[in-house]
Amino acid sequence: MTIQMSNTIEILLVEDSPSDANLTIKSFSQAKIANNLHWVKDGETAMDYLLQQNEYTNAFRPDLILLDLNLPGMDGREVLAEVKANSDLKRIPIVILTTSANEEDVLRTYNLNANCYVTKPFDVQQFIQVIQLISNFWLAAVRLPSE
Amino acid sequence: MRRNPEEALLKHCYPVPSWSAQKNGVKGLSEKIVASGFALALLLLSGVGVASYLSLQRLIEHRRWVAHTYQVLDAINDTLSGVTEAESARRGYILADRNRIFLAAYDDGRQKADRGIKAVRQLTSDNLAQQRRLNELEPLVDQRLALLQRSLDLLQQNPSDLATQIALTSQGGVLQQQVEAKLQVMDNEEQTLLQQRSETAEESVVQTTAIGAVGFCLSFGLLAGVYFLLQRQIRVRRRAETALHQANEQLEARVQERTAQLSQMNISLQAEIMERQQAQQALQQVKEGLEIKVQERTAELKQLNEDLVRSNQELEQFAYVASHDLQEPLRAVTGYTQLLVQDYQDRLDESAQEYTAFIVDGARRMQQLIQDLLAYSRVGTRDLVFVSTDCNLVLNQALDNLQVAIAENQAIIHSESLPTVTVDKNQLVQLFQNLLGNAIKFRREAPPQVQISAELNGNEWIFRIRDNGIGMKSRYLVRIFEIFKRLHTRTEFSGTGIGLAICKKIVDRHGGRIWAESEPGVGTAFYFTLPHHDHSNV
Repeated sequence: MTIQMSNTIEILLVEDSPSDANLTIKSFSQAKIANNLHWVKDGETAMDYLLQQNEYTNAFRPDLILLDLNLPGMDGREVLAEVKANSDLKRIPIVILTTSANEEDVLRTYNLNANCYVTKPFDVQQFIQVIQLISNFWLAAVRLPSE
Repeated sequence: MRRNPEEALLKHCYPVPSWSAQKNGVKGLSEKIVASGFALALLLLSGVGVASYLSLQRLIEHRRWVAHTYQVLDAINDTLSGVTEAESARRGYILADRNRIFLAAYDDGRQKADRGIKAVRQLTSDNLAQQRRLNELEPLVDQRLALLQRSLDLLQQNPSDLATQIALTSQGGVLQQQVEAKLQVMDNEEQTLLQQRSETAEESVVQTTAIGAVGFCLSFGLLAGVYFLLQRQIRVRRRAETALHQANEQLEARVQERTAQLSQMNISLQAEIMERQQAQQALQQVKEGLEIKVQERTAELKQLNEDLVRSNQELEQFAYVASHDLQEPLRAVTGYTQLLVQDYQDRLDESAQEYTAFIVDGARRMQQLIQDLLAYSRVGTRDLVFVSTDCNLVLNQALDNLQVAIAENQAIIHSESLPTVTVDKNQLVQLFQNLLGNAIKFRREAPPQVQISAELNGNEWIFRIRDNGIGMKSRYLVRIFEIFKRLHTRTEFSGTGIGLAICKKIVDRHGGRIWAESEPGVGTAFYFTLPHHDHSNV
C-alpha cells in the first residue's frame, strides 16, 4: 500500500482473478488523474479495508470502489449490501465490474444501490478500453462527495 | 337446543285435556243437580197447583152450600112472613071496614107463603129431616091459610058475626104458633147447617192458603237452590272459560313464536342449503379445474421427463465432447506457451514472462474446471450400483487414495468402527475422500487430526468427520455446498470449489442429508446421513 497525498483519488479494487486485476491496475496507472489503487482479493478483506480494521487500521478511505461479484467467501453482493447499509460508507460510489452478464445480477445490484454495472469484455483490448472509460469518467468527469 | 321449545310446548299441552276432563265430571254432576232441582220444583209446583185447584173447588162447593143454606133460610123466612102478612091483611081488612086493598095484600101473603114452601121443598130435597118437617108444616100452613080464607069469606057474607071471627082468630093464633114453631125448628136446623158449612168453608180457605204458602215456599227454596247452583256453575264455567281462553292465547302465542322460529330456521336452512350448493358447485368447478390441471401437469411432466431424458443424453454427449475436444485446444495453449517460455526465455522481458504465466495459469485452471465439471456431471448422471458395503473398507480405500496428502501433512486419522450400508461403493469412496481431503487441506499450523464416527438414529446412520482445521464462519455453512463456491483465494488454498458440491450430490442421490458445524480457528465437523437397511449390520 502506498500512501499518497490527499488530492490523489483513492480507489479500492476487489477482484479475485489476478489476471483481471493486473489488467485493471495497468489501465488505471495510465489514467490522466492521479490515483492510488489498492487491490484486495476477497470480500472480507475489502470490508476490513473499508472499516479500517485488522491489518488495515491505517487505510485511506477510498473515493471509488471497483467490485467484482463472484468472490471467494463473502461475495461482491454481500459487500455491496454492507457498504450501502453503512451510513459512513454508503456515499462511496461502487462500480460493479464482473464477468457475469446475468440480468438478475444486474437488477439485484442496482436494487442494492450500486452506482453502475459493467460487464468485463472478453476481448483484452476492449477490456482495457472499458477500464480507461471508467477511470476517465469517475476520476475526471464525476464530482465525488468530499468525505 | 332446537328441540327444547317443542318439548316445552308438548309438556304444556298435555295437562289441558286431563284438566278439562276433570271439570267435565264436575260439570255433569252440577248439571244433574240443577236438572233435578228444576224437575222437583216443577213437580212441586204442579202438586201445589193441583192441591190448590182441588182446595178451591172444595171451597167453591162449600161456599155454594152456604149460599144454598141462605136461600133455604130466606125461603123459610118468606113462608113465615107470607103467613104473617096474610094474617095482617085480614086484620087490616077487618079494621079498615073491608077495604079491598087488604084483600090484595092477603093474596100476596098467601102466594108468598106458597112460594116459600115450594122453595123450601125444592131447596131441601136432599135433606130428609127438613122434608119431613116440611110435610108436617105444609098442612099447618094450609090450615092456617084456610082459616084466614074462611074468616074473610065470612066477613064478606056475614060481617056481623064477630063471635065466629073471634073464634077463628084464636084458632088461627094457635095454628100461627104451631107454624112459627115448626119454621123455627127448620130455621134452627138451617142455621146449624149454615154454621157447619161456614166453618168448613173457612177451613177450606185456610187449607188452600196453607197449601199455596207451603208450595210457594218450597218452590221458592228450590228455585233459590237451583239459582245458587246455576250461579256457581256459571262462575265455574266463566273461570274455566277464562282459563281456557288464557291457555288458548298462550298456546296461540307459543304457536306463533314457534312458527316464527321455524320460519327463521327454514330461512337459515335454505340459506345454508344455498351456500352448500354453491360451495359444492365451486368445489366441483375446482375439482374439474384441478383434474384439467392434473392432466395438463401430467402432460407437462411427461414432456419434461422426455426433455430430461434427452437433456441427459445431450449432457453425456457434452461430457464426452468436453473431455476430449475441449481439452485438446487447452493443451495446445498450455504446451506451446510453455515451449515459448522455455525456448525464448532470454528474449522475453519481465512483462512477457508475467503474461505467459497468466496464460499457463488460466489454461490450467480451465482444464481443471472442465475436469471438475465432468466429475460433478458424472456423479449426477451415472447409474448407481447399490450393494451392501462395509464403510470401514470404503474408508481404507479413501485413505489409500489420500496417502500422499496424509503423509505430507502428517495427518492423524482416527476412525471408530463404521457400519455396513447399501450404497454405490465408488461414490461413497469419493465422498469420504473429498471430506477427508478437505479436513487435511484446510489445516492450521498444527498437524491435522481427523475423527470419523457413525451412529444409528432411527432409520438412518449419521456419519461425522471432524477436524481441527481453520474452521469457518457460520454464514458460509450453507453456500460451501454450491458448485465452484469457494471461501478462500486460490493463493491461500488451491481448488475450484467442486469437492463439497460433489459430496452433496452423492449424499442427495443416496437419499441422505449433508451439513456442517464449524467454529473459526477450532475446526469443522461434517455430517451426512445414509439410510439404514435391516440387513446391514455394524
